[in-house]
Amino acid sequence: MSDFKRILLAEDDPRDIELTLTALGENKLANEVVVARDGAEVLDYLRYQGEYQMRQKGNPAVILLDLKMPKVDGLQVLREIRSDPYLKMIPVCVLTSSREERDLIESYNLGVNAYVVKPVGFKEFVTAVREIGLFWVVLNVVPSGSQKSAGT
Amino acid sequence: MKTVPNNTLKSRSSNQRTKSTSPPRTERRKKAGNVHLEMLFKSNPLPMWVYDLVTLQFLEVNQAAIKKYGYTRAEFLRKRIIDIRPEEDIPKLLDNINQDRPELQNSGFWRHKLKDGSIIEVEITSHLFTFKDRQAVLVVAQDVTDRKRAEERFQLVVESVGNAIVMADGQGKIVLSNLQTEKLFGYKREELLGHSVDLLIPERYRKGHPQHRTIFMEHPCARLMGAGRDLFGLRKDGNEFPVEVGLNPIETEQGIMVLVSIVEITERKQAEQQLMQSLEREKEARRDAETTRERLAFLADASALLAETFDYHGRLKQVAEIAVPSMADWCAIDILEADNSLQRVAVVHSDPAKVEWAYEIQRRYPPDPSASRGIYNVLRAGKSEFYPDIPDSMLVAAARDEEQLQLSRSLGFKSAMVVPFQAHGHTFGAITLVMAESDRHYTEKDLTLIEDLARRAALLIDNARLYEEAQKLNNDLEVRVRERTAELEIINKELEAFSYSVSHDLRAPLRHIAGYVELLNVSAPDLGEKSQRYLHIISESASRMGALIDDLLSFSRMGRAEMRMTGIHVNSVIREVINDLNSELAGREVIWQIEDCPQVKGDRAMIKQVFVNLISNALKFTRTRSPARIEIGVDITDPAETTFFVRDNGVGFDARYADKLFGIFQRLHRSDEFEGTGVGLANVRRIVHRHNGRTWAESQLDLGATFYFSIPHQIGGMYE
Repeated sequence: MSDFKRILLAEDDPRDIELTLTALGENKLANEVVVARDGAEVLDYLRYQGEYQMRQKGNPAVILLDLKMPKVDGLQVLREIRSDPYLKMIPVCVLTSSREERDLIESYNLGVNAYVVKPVGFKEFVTAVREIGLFWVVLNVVPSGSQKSAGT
Repeated sequence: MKTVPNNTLKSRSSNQRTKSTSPPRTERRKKAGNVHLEMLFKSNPLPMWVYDLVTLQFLEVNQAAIKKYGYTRAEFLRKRIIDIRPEEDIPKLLDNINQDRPELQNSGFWRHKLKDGSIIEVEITSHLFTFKDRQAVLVVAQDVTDRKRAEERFQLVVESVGNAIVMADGQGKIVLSNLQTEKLFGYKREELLGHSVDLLIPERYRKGHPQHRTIFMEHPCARLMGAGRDLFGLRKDGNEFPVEVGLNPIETEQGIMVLVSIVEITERKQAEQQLMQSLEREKEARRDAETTRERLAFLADASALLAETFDYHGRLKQVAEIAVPSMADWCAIDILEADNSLQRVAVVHSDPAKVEWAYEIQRRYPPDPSASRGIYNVLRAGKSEFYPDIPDSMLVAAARDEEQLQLSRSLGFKSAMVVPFQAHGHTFGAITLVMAESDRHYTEKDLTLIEDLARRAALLIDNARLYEEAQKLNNDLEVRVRERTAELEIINKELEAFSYSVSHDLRAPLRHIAGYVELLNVSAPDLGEKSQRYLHIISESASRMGALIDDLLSFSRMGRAEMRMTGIHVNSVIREVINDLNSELAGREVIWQIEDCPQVKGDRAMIKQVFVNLISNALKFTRTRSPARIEIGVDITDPAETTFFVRDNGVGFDARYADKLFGIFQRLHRSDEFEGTGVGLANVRRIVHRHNGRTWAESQLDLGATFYFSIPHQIGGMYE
């Protein structure tokens, strides 16, 4: 249950990480954030692999997923999550710079729960991040299975 | 024979007009002679009389005369000879008597009047002598009335026959002729009568004529003269004309006569000749028709072959095959290939062994390109060579050595032609036709035919080559189009990747600039006013850069995005747009005038974008107006398209730059007057063009502007 309010931020750009964490911090959500620097790390985390073998059990409340990442990109991560019976119910919110139509369509096709384009203005960005965090972490309810760890 | 006049007839031959003073002996002898004469006179069955040559008084008549003429002897002796003549004959008679004449003469035919007034024709023989001491004439009159009549009737018959008829005696003298003869030969009757019939025949026949006549006279029978030979008549004017002559022997008192009937057959001859000619012509025409038929059949077959396909080598070979044997004993076809080499496409002869042989000869003696005759010359000159006959001398001249001469002699070529394939001024090859063992010879007609065929063949070759070229060009073009398409696809992919990358990566740094400026503001709350203004400008520039990138990406998307065509309720689109722009209307007084718009076909999202851009422009450039008037209308007068317009009462623009308006990044206002990226109208044009429509604008500075766009009802047909 300790994983209950955890946010998994999948983001490769350190400046974006900093700005996002700042925005989350302004909204008192920063402590619950785990950052994965590429798609492979996201999957390692979710599957208790690599450096995450010994991590605390449980799925995050939401994954904030950047699409353009090294190694395994966001859409591929989304595809893997939705095809994995232990992971498929995790809410995923795409948080990206791109408003490209094909990304949008592909994301929804793969079963994304939300798609947010990062605003350029910082104030707007902070607002967006706060609302995402509040909604998914505080208001949203998920089936209990989604919280169970793959290993247990 | 009852009463015998007691007169003595005394011959004038005594040479003197003497009284009867002859010695008694002589007298006696004479007397005895006179008795005989008297007997002869008195009892002669022919009428006889003696008249006085001076007084013309009858001196004595015989019984036959009395009987014939109906006068008594006494009546006669009271008359003169003129009294027994029709009055009209008297001058002629007197004239005749006054002429000096021989003792005995046949004085011809005369007419006498009988006592009963009837007229008879008589032939008179007269004899001068002294009678009772007078100069007297003894006359024997033979009644020839019947004969004359018969002759007249004969003449009439002869006249009425319609043919030219002459009668000739045994010596060939003309004794009778008719009008037709005179007309036909151009002589008067008197020019004919008594003359030889030779007059009527050409000089060259006259020599043999007497002999023919003799033979005819020996075996007189009716027959055609000179049967089987062409006979000619000779006119007085010297002209000859073809005749047909019938000969008819007639026995007359004067002996056997020949009745000759002459028919001019000039017309008949001409008609015959014409008939012969037309028969000949008909025969010729039949022959011609037959050969023409064969030729046309050949030409038709050959043309059909030539029309069929572009495989011209194969087709020309077939043409050569059907040319033998109808048009030739040998047929060869040579083609000048694109590289100017001569290729023998076909050699045809009914005997395949001979074909092999021909190839062998060709290998051993290839045609000399510099020869003044033969295939190369034909190709060079582009003119046919035609040899109706091939004399040995020609073979000798063409042979390079004895062996070749022997070979070509053994082939027995009789006639030949070499005809080039020519079209559009180019020579593509030649067809060679040769007559040999069939001993036929070519005519000009054959040459014409083959030249016609060769022209068709040339067109075929020309077309085939053009086709090949076109095919090749087509293929090249297809390859190029494929290559170009692939290139374009790659470029498109790259462009997509580019814009994707722009979308992701270009915005991130801007966001970072904006974000860190904000963080700086927070972390350094004591910054001076100037520094804060700088930070503000940095942040605003980043925002503008973001807007620019968004517009650019939108523009790029509009060019690439797939169109989804639907019926669009334009008024609802306009309502949505105005609604979306509501935030910009705050504090503004705007008078909207929106017409009822028809439904159009198009991509709704795109058309909406058009209205977004046009209406937001209108709002932007009427910012200084109060109230602002914005009119949105439609023109449906053109059945092919619907034209929409957005009109405002804003600042307008200089009409000279109307064309630049729709170009990307083109702006007619400074950015400190009216903000903008210069992408909006470019996007409008791009969208409208994708709908196959047009865009244009009208304006005057400070008097507002009107922007138009049209959407055709048929959008390229591909969305129908």
